[in-house]
Amino acid sequence: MAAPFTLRKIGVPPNSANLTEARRRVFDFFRAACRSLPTVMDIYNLQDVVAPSQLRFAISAQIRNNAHVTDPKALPLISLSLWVLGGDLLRAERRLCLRSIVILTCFNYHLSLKVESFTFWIVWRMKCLLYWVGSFTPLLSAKAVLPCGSFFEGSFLCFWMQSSRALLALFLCAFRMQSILFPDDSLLLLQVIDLLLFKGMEELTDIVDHAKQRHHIIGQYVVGEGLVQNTGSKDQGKSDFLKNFYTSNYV
Amino acid sequence: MGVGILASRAIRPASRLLRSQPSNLLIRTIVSKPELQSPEAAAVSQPEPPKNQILPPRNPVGGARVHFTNPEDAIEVFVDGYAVKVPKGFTVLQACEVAGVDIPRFCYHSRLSIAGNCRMCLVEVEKSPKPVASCAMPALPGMKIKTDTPIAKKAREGVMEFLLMNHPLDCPICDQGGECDLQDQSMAFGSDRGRFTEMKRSVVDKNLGPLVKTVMTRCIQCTRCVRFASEVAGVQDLGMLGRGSGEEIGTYVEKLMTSELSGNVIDICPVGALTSKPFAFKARNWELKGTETIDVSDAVGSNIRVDSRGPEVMRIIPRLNEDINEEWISDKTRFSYDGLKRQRLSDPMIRDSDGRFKAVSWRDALAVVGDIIHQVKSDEIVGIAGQLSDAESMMVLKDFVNRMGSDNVWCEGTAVGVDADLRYSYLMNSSISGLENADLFLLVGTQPRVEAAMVNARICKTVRASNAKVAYIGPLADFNYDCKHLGTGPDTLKEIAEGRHPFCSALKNAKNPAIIVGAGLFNRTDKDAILSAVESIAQANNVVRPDWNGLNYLLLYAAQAAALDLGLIQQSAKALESAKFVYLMGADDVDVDKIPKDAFVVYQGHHGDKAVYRANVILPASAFTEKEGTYENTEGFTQQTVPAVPTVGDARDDWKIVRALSEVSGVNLPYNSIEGVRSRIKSVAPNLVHTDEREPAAFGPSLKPECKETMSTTPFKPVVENFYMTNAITRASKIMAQCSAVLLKK
Repeated sequence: MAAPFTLRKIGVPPNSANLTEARRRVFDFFRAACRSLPTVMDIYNLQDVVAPSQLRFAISAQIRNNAHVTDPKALPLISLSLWVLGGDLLRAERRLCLRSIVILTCFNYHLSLKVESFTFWIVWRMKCLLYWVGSFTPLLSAKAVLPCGSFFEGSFLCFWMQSSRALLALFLCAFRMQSILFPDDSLLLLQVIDLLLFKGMEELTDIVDHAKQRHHIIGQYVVGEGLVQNTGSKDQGKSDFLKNFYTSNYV
Repeated sequence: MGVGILASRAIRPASRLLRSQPSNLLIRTIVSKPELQSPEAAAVSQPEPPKNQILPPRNPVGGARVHFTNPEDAIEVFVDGYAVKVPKGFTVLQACEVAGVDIPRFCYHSRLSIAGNCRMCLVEVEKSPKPVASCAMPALPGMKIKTDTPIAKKAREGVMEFLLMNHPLDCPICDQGGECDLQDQSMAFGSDRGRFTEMKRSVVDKNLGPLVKTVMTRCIQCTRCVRFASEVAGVQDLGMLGRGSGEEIGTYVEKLMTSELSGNVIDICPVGALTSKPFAFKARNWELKGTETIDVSDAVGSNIRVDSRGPEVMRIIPRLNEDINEEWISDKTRFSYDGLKRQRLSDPMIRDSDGRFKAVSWRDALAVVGDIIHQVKSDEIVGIAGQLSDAESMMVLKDFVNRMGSDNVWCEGTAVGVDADLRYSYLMNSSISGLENADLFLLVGTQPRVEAAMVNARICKTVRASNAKVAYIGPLADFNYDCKHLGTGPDTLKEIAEGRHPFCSALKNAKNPAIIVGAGLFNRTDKDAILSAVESIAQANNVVRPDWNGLNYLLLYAAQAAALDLGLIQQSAKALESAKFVYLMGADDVDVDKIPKDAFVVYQGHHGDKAVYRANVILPASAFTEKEGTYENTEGFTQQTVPAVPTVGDARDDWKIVRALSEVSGVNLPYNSIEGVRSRIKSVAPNLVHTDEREPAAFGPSLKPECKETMSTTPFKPVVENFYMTNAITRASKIMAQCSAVLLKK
């Protein structure tokens, strides 16, 4: 018998340079997942519940679900998160308080690079925008720009906010920034694929580590909703009545 | 500060050492007042109510209505100072009910005769030396009745004390706990402490059958069950033996209660002496959810309340409906609920090539049926609706089969030649409550005791109340009222029709004669001749008049009236023999041997009963407790069932299955919701949409053409062999199996 397959622990998330590399990574992931299936079935006692072919089908279905991510037109927004530290935005209504330090983080190395290089430009644009929005109080102290290199592979842009209106304006800016910073979307696409792959590897590692429970596995991958039906082709011509009829008596 | 504490201060020595806060609270002197020592003294000291007081208006107890048969005969009585008008024969208790005062009672029941032996209903009447039993005392004009005086209250406390003396401390293990009259009335009217220190008596339990559990120690000898059995059920099974504290209710010999109304004594008994044996120790009444729905075990449509706990039906209780079932239900209705848990179909199944059924998904099952139905010629498609089908599913089935090009869709129980053109020919035209006005009954080929127990109860009530006469043509059967057996077959009918039988004179002299024809006669080949003979009898004896229509047809199944209204009739006798595709919607009484061997049979139903074994595809449907369906009873009264529990497994509602099947087969039915189905029904039979209303037949027998056939001489056969096993649910029920093994007369 061949040596049992051991899953390498994933420490560093992937960074694909182009689409082919991303595809290779996806297929590697699928291969790893299928090879770890016997271990999974052994750990969770799924021998009588499901066949390995069904689980393989489930995994491939999940991957196929995201097959549309190859289409550059369907892209999510940048994963920006705004952390508001040390201040209550509501209290910022009053003049006296607040300083809320808004940290614009980007979990995205490439973005962070771009953000770094465009820092001043960004700050200047934000200032204009915020000025235009009407928050006149001295807010943007551009001192707090800290391009922090590879901490979470992102960079921080700190803004010293003094009013919640400013924060709102910042949100608007962020959305505008996306289209400014990324005229071509392929880079972003790769990041999305990498992120999904990272999530998948994380999930696979959890499952192989016995960090999940059996009913999780059964509920998500054996009986799960998106697996048996709804591949789209069979349900095309059916009316709502028939779809509801197949689902349940009480829909 | 009460009188007591002040008085105690005066009595105790005023010592500073003793007088400290805690001891003040510990010592409490009991002081009595003259008013508290006897009820008469209390009555003396009560202030007179001011005269000419304007009292707030009162509603009768329970929303009851008073019917004045003779408005000039109304009497005025005063209840607690409130003037109320009552008809002449009313008792004091009924007068108090009209006035909105609910007097406690144990032995009195509005539908039974008056016994007056519990003494709980004692009220004070002016100018009477002692309190009177209000249930027995007739109300006289100008009587002043007082129900809340100390004398009345003391009387109630005393009666309660006596009742509880010999009553065992069984509340924790008694099934009646939570709905017990004794519990409720002792809380409301009893005293708070007892003083009984002797030994309580106990009584040996009686065996009344597999339905009624008896713990006779709990009996308070109210004799409600005795009066019910002799008056309403018509059987003289129960009686009171012994005297004084040694009184025991029972059957004198070791006899079981075989009456079909025996389960009603469970509702009647105010304490836990007679309880439901299948329901014993199963649930408490406060954890049950009651759903008001309709029974479908026979064509009467008795109103019931289904008590369920979660997904399980725990018991079935009757609901009040004056027109149909009053307050009673038959044993089959009451106890067949455990059949809902056995032999249930829960997944669609297809028969494999090796003959075994395999569970499949709905998609596959409907795809298979949809494929096959297109390979068959249109007149080889047959649809049969079962006896428990609701109007919505029958409508959708008929629409579907018609759109596939076939006209062969009918309901079980309607043989060839039954036409549904004139509604009077299959309904109970005098209505069930109207049977009370009849003074002569002629039963033709029907045994109402087993076919429709509530109709039989109504006939029994009429016979008892107004001494009506009953004559019967059919096989030997037992009745619980005096009945003259005229003959066994169509010959007797012919004789009466021609006027040669001695019974004709009785018919002519009757003011309101009622003829009840059983629907079992519809299956005979000489049906037309028999029915025309019946109609000629009706004609000759003035049975059908504008003010009284006594020509009644008693249907057998809950689905029959609605099916005939919707037009599900069997056109050709050979339809089943030449069928290639048979759709059985809950139809178990179909003769499976008549279906050809190469026919493809689809069975849609909720129980794996007889017809399932012949089926090729099984589609699971919901039972009557799980769906909202419209049913029409034998008198034309439309009612709706309400879902009480969720459907079992992967089952769906009947009409939804047929509608989904039609879509998969490519037939577009113009509705996809229950409202759409109902509006379709409205265009076919609008009376089925008006729930809780009775639609009488529009035309009488005058429109029927003459019949030229001759009657055969075969005598009438009984239709219902076993009262306890008539439909799929009852056949799957363990309690019904026990009853039919033990209670049927051999």
